[in-house]
Amino acid sequence: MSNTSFAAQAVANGPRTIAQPSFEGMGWLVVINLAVMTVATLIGVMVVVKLAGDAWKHRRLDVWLSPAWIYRALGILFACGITIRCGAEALTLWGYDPRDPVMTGMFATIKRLFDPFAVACGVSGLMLYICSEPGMIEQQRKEPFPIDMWLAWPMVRRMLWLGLFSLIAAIGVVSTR
Amino acid sequence: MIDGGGIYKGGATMAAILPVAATALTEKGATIATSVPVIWHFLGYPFEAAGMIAALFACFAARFWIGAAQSVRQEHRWSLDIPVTGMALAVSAAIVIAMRPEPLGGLLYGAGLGVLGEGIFKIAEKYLQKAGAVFGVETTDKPAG
Repeated sequence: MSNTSFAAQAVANGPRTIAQPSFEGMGWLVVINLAVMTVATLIGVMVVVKLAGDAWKHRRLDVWLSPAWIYRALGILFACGITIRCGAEALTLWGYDPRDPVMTGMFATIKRLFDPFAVACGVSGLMLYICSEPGMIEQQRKEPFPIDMWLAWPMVRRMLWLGLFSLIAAIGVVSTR
Repeated sequence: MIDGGGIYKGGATMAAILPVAATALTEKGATIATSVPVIWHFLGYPFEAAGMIAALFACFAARFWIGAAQSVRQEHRWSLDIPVTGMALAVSAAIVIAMRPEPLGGLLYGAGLGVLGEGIFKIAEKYLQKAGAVFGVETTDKPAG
């Protein structure tokens, strides 16, 4: 192994397991991780695309720091964090292959590089939440209270279906490779 | 509006799949030396089952996710959406058989073709409108895009 990458060396010199050695050979754990990371990435992308599209469509109405803008920005930040974090993890999980240590090591390094951005998204979302929380709560205590929660139910249903399909795919992939 | 029936059905399917999967998983080895990849055959061509499943899943997810995004789609579901999805799935299956990629490669090919299917859909939709105008067929479906 003439590669200078430490990650590639670790993969090349480590035990030649089909998934990451940290799974300790537990196939069901690989299935769960694979399915969860894949579906979280898909859902995250879905939400980011939807919210960014909404934000663009209503950019005249929901001006900078209006409640609607804050609410949407929260969703975008959290969804970005989830997408980046789970996407990188899904890449390492799907791409793990001891027969190709260079690629596998590169994926692991990519995950390390992207994680801080995911954390930055998540933490700025939390900060924005805390920052806007007193004012938002004040707003939401005003009449009328009820909101129609089920307007976007079809989209949630689509997410659940995606989750089911990715679980089936993960079972299929793990049990056949 | 709150129609959760499909999900419960899905849950029942999952409950049926899990035991099968559990037995399948315990019989697989954890290392490369002990694991034997399942090889499927189609018309005599061998290919890895894992790459095929990954590609079909990715293609389907891309089509499902993008294709279902617009309510305009509902009326073209059977005339366009399903055929285009079928084509994308068939092409990704063909690519898997031809290239025999690893699961990640299959995932990327499938996702790429699924997204490409969106472009095919757009072209087909436009063509359908044009054809309707030429042949005098009533097309009331003007997409709001």
